[in-house]
Amino acid sequence: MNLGFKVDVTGLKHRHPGQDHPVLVESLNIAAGEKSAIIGPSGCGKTTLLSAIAGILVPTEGEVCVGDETISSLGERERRSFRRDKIGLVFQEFELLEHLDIRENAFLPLWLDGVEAGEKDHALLEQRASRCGIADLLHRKPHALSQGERQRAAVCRALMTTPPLILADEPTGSLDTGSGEAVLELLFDEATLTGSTVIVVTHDRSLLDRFDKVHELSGREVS
Amino acid sequence: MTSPLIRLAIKSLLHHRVRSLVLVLCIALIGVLPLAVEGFLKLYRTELESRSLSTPLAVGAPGSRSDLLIHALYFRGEVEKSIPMKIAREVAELGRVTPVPIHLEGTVRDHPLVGTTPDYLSYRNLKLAGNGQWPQRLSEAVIGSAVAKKQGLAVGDKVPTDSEELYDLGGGYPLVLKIRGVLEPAGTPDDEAVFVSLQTSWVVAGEGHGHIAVDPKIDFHLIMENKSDNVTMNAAVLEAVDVTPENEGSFHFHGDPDDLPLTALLVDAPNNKGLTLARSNLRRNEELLVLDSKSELDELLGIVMQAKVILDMNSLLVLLATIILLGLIVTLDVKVREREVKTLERLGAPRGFVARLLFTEIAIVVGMGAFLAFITARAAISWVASGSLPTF
Repeated sequence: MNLGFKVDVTGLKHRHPGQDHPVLVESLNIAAGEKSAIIGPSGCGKTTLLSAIAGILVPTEGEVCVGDETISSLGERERRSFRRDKIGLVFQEFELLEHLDIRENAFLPLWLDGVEAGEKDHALLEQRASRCGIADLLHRKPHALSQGERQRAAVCRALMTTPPLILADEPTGSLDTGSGEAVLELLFDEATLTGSTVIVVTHDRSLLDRFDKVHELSGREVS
Repeated sequence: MTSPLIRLAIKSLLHHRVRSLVLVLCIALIGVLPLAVEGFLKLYRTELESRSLSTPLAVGAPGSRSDLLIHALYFRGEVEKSIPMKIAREVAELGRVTPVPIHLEGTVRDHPLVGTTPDYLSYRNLKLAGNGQWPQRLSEAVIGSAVAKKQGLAVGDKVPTDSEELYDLGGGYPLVLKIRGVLEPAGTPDDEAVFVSLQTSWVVAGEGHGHIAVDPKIDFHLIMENKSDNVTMNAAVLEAVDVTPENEGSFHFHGDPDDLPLTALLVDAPNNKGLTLARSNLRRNEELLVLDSKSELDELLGIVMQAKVILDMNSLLVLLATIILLGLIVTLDVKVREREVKTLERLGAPRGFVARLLFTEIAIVVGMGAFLAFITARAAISWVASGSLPTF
């Protein structure tokens, strides 16, 4: 088991080009190993916050700390490397590459690091795929899978590097209630096994009671 | 082991296989022409040069230098005027060198009919296959290996020369040639030629002829006019003249044998000294055109190379257009693959990874196109070199 990262966001302010109002997050603190939900109305900046935590964007102002690293002050190269190695990402639209099969999609984080998947990685994938319920689907291309199976495959990919932090942006948004619950269950089970911190942006209030904490974007803790 | 980058590039190319295939074919098509032209020119140049090096001195009547060169070395085209046979005798009298007379007149199934002497065999280091013999008698012939192969001819077969003037009833008739030998392949224009004695060649050219014995009682259907002192025969009914032991003696040449025509004269010299002497003697005769084959050929090839520069410029422009087009395709491709690119970036692809991925894909496509172009050009050149198409 690895120790998950704590996440601290302080005074975050980010203005997207052409947007009138900047995204504001006064303070957000997520403890290591915690499973947190981020909620808020559309356009309030949930995805912006997640992107800032992931180091995909650098906020105009404020500080984002992930683990012991102040990711908002890292250079582009370091942020990419940090994201590759330490963060698992799950997206609403799965973002699986259509020209790769599920096995290759799962190994993509390794390939981006210039690393060829070894025997250990194959064994790990088999294990994870089995727990994700996609062990028989590894040779298939994404278009040959159902929506739920694709999101399971995306979760499997996010877990391949055993990241201390898992960020999921509306992971259930494209799924029916049953499939959404199953995917979230899977994400939590795997995070529990590895001790990873999980932050999920969601609209689905019926899922909130499954989280340790729920944060509203205004920074006000709601439960 | 394939690097992950190359693997990703190959996977992407295979996923868009129609687009990839079209791109590879386009690049191959663009590349094959200049590569093939370069190869053909090299091949022809080598063949032409080797022939000119083995034929240092060619002599003919004044006129076009290139016509004489092509005629004497490669048995192609005609020369404006001929030179008399006595030139060959005079060269022989010089000593040190051997004249190799050439009389090129007529064709056999479109292959050049070359009248020459047995010296031609040793001059060109030609060998007869099997137990063939060089023509000893009138109407006997030796054929090149390519002629034998293409026309399905062998020793013992008979083949008529081609009609020169099909509707000229008063003209010379095709002569039936008896094949006495087939040359071993030499990879030179000799493979495509039919060799006969000078006498046979002169008969074909109408310089000599024979008489056919006609019995008015038997051959009455050939008689056009029958007077008490003269019988006029219908010439149109004869399809070809066949030299037989019975009529061979009737063949003869009118006039001085020294004046019989040669279309070219090659000079076989054992060393440079003999060659220089022969050249200097022949050049004193203003009625002759004396060519140094190598320098003439270089001049001729220089003109061809100038034409190639234009072709190279054209290829360069096509290449530039292709690069621009390729750039456009890549730009559009990045747009189409925006989502894929975004995913790679979000998953933490190293800086420049996407650019390297696209570059690798382009490199693979260009590489495959170039390889295909190279293979196709090589196959075309080999096909030509193997004799499937006529070479010089």
